[in-house]
This record gives sequence, C-alpha cells and structure tokens, in this order.
Amino acid sequence: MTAQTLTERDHERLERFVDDALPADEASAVEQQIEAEPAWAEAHAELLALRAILQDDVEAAVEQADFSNFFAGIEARLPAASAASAVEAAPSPARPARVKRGSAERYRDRLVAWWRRNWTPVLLGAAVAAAIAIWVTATRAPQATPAAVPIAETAGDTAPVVVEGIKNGGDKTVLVNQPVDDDGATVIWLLDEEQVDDENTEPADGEDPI
Amino acid sequence: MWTRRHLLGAALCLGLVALGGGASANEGITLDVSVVHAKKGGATVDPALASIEGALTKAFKGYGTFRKLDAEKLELTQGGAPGRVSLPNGKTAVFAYKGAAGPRHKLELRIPESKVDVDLRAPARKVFFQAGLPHDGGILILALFLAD
Repeated sequence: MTAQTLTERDHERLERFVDDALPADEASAVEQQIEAEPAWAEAHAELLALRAILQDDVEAAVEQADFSNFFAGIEARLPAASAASAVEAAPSPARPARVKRGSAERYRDRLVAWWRRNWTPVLLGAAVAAAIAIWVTATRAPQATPAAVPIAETAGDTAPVVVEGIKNGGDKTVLVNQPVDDDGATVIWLLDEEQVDDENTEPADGEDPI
Repeated sequence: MWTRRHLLGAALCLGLVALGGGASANEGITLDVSVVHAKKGGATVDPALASIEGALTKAFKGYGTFRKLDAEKLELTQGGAPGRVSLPNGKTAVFAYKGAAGPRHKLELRIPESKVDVDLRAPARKVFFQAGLPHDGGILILALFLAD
C-alpha cells in the first residue's frame, strides 16, 4: 500500500492533523493510522518535509530580506526531499525506494480522477444549458442590426404596431390608424381638441360670437 | 446512477444559464425619433427626410410640406430610465422600454403635458408615427424607428 491509496478525505484529515486542527479523538486516531499503516506514514512524512522546506526557505529569505531565490530554492529541493521522505518511510528493505510525485501532480491526478467520475453529468448539463440558451435566444429573436441605423424604410418585420392600451386623462382624442398594406406605416394620432376647439371657437375681431 | 454531486453539477449549469438569461433580459433597444413639422399645402419635403419620404407622404396625404426639426437617438433598457424628447411646442415625449414580446418590443409613449399614455408593441426596423400635436400652423409628427 502506498500514499496513492489514501482517499481525498484521508489526505484532508492528514493535513488537518499536521496543522493541529483535528479534535483530540480524531488526532489520536490519525496518529494510530500513521503508526500502523505505511501509506499513512509516507504521506505524513511527505507533508512534514514539504512544510519544513517552506518554513526554512521563508525564514532564510526573510532574514536576508531577499526573496529572489525563494521559489527557486523550493523548486530545487522538492524532488530530493520527496525522495528522501519516501525512503525514510519505507517499512521494509524489500520495498523498493521510489521517488514520490510532487504535490502538483497529485492534485492533477485528483482532477483527472474527478473528471473521469463526473464527465457524463457535466457534459449532459452543458448540453442542456446550451439548448436552453439557444431556445431563449431564439424566442427573443432580435434582428441583427447595426448599432446606428438611420430611420429608413427598411424591409424588416412586417408585423404592424399593436396598441395595447391608452390612458387618456385630458381632453384629447387618440386614434390609431393602421396601414392597409405592408408598405404603409401605423400612425398614432393624438388630437389636441382643446387647442383645436380654442382655435375654432375664438371669434375673429368684429365677428358675431353667436 | 445520479448522485447528489451529479445533481449539483447539473444545477450549477442551469444556474449559469439562468444568469445568462437574466443578463440578456436587461438588453435594450435603440429608438430613433425624428421630429417633423407638417403643414397642409405646398409640396415640399425636407431632403433630410428623404429616407422616410414615401412612408410620410403616404400616411399623411392631407399634408404637403414636411420639415425635419430635430432627431434623437434614445438608448432604452427594460426597467431603465425612460428617454425624453423635448418638442418645439413645449411638450415632452417620454419613451420607456418594457421588454421584448415575441418579434415585437413593448414600448410606453407618454406625453405628460397632454395626460396621454399609450402602451404599444412595435416591430423592429419598421417606421411608425405619432402625430397630431398642433404646432405653428401645422402638426408635429414623431417618426419612430426601433433598432434592436
């Protein structure tokens, strides 16, 4: 058994154990697993080594106030440290020492594994999403029009203008004149009767108002 | 077999689509408004109205003189601020976009000073008119064109 057989949950527990973030009873259980199972021991040693590298480099870099070699130092020490931890954690001489894979590779493997388990629902969901998006777009049916279209007798949608409601709170008359053919245009007439009446009823000078 | 994780993934995808739909629902339109003064008599059409001359003379056969006074391009969004056009007779035409309705767009046209409020559905790329307000011995015509 190797560290690769630990589940995601196991890794999380182990990381929390190293961080002293587990409750006492769980921490005790993890400690027993590290002692009893080589895979746990390997993963534990690897975690400790990685954290030690990070800590050493941070401290050294802070002391020197020069961060230029920080990441380079970590990178340089990663393979060696991983190999060392793998050898130290080997439970018997019969087990061949091998270089452990880096953390990035492990996460990539987890991602690949997740994709293998979930590709069907993800692709199905994406297909449904695309279908709905196409349907929504089609029902909105906006014609592709340049941003600045001048008023023109463009041959567009020939559906006439439909007046759905009129609220007339004054002394005005509203009429809707629909075209009789496709070339015509709808006219919404607003006849200002008050003003028209004023004009019509105002008697001219000298005119008999009756 | 569908697990809770599968359902969660599908719900996430659908949620993204819903967000996209909501965003598109807020898309707006451009309303071109030309303010035209029409008088009876004469036979003169402002060259600036050449693009709508046919529709104009056909819809307003009793008028012979047409002059373009103003033009506005209103960017309207659903739920957004309405567009206003000041008219030369001192009144204001207010336009609000109420969203798409199939191949048409819902608009509200108000002339607050005249206490008139018209809800209408108009197709894009089709000229229509509002007319009748008296002005300077003739009438005002608003030539309206939706470019979505």
